[in-house]
Amino acid sequence: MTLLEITGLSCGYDGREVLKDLNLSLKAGQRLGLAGHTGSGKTTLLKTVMGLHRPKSGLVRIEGCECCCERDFAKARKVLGYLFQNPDDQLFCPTLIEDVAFGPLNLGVKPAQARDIAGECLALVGLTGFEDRLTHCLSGGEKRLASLAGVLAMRPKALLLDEPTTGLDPASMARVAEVLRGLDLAMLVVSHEWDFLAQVADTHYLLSHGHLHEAAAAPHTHKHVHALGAIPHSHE
Amino acid sequence: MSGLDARSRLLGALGLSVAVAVCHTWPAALVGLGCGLAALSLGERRWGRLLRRLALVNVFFLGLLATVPLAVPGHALLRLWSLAYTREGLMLALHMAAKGNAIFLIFWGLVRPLSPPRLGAALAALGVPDKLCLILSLTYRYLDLMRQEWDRLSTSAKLRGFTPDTSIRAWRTYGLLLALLFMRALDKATAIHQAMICRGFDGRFKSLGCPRWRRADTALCLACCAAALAVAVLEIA
Repeated sequence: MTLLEITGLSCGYDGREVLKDLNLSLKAGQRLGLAGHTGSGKTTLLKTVMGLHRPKSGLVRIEGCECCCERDFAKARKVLGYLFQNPDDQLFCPTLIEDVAFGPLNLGVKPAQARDIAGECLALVGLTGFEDRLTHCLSGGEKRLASLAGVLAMRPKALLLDEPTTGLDPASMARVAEVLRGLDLAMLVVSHEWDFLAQVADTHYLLSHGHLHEAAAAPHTHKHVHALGAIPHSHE
Repeated sequence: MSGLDARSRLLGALGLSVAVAVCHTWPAALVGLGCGLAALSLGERRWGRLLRRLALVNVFFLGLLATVPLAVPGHALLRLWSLAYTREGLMLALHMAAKGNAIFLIFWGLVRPLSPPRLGAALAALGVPDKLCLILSLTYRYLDLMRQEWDRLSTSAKLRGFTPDTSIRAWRTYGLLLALLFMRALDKATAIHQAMICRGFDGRFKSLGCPRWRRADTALCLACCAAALAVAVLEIA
């Protein structure tokens, strides 16, 4: 089943075209990785899909329904969970349990049930026991996982993840990757970290000059240019 | 102590404060002060902090003590040129100070122990408009972020040799920093609003709810009603 279908999408800012006639589809269970340099339009693509940015032309279909106005996108947001680049944008309730329960409460779930869902989602990302912690006192990695729990609490069918590893140290990055690998959801992961994308996605795309290019895995030789390359290690 | 429902604390503090604020007699004000002292038993036991805050509040009342007796006619205690510092004015200022301190102590004991989320949830449960509760909750969450942003901006200015003084250039720099802070706050507000609508927000704030109302809450409300009644009776008598 196709959850998301983008056809002929063009977007821009101040007369500059960032996305040009772009096509992409995301099916249930599929994990797409999208890389691209800063300013290549990765976030614009995700925001357009969520109805937060108006495209110049093109179509966005979510579960086969064409999304043209705010009402269409409001329905679509129950299908697609969007993880923002900066977790501070997403964590707006003072305590963690309140923040994770925010989505379910908005969907009309009763408070007691919303609390249970929030608890389950916190357990899913490994933050059990953090329920009453203040969101602004969490570490960067914990904030990222907490905002992911907030998105998961909406019970989406697919996730759109915008740079989920920005500013994280390797240990936190590995933890985020492990949590994402454990989820049975379709996802479109945007990142400029090829190593991270290789861990969480099956199909990889590169966004460059407004166009998408599929990046096929190609065996190649490489050399280490950093000082620690001489330490014995292995590659997967 | 912490098991009390936030709603009973709010209602109790509100009822008592209104009764104390509108009284005119000394016995009523003294009962109010007694209520304030009693309310402290339900609050934090950080006496040093309480005394510091109390001193700050009384700086304001010192101002009233200095100025109100000059504006109220009556028996002159001393004369400053053509102005008379009157006994009636002094008593009025002392009465205002007693009432102000009483209300401060009541809020310190009953409302201060409430965390902003509990306060927001209790206000929502008491029928305060959703938007006000939402503003309270978001302000608490993002005040710290604004402070961090301001610290970043002012530190970066300092690192580039900016020294605060009263020159036109310094004021201009402060103006620019403040403008930048507001611009970033606007960007942040847009991003947060987008994140909220992505999670189904429809303009109404829904809370996980207040703790349950217990017997102790009813007892607190009855005690506050009795104290307010005592203030009213002393006022009439």
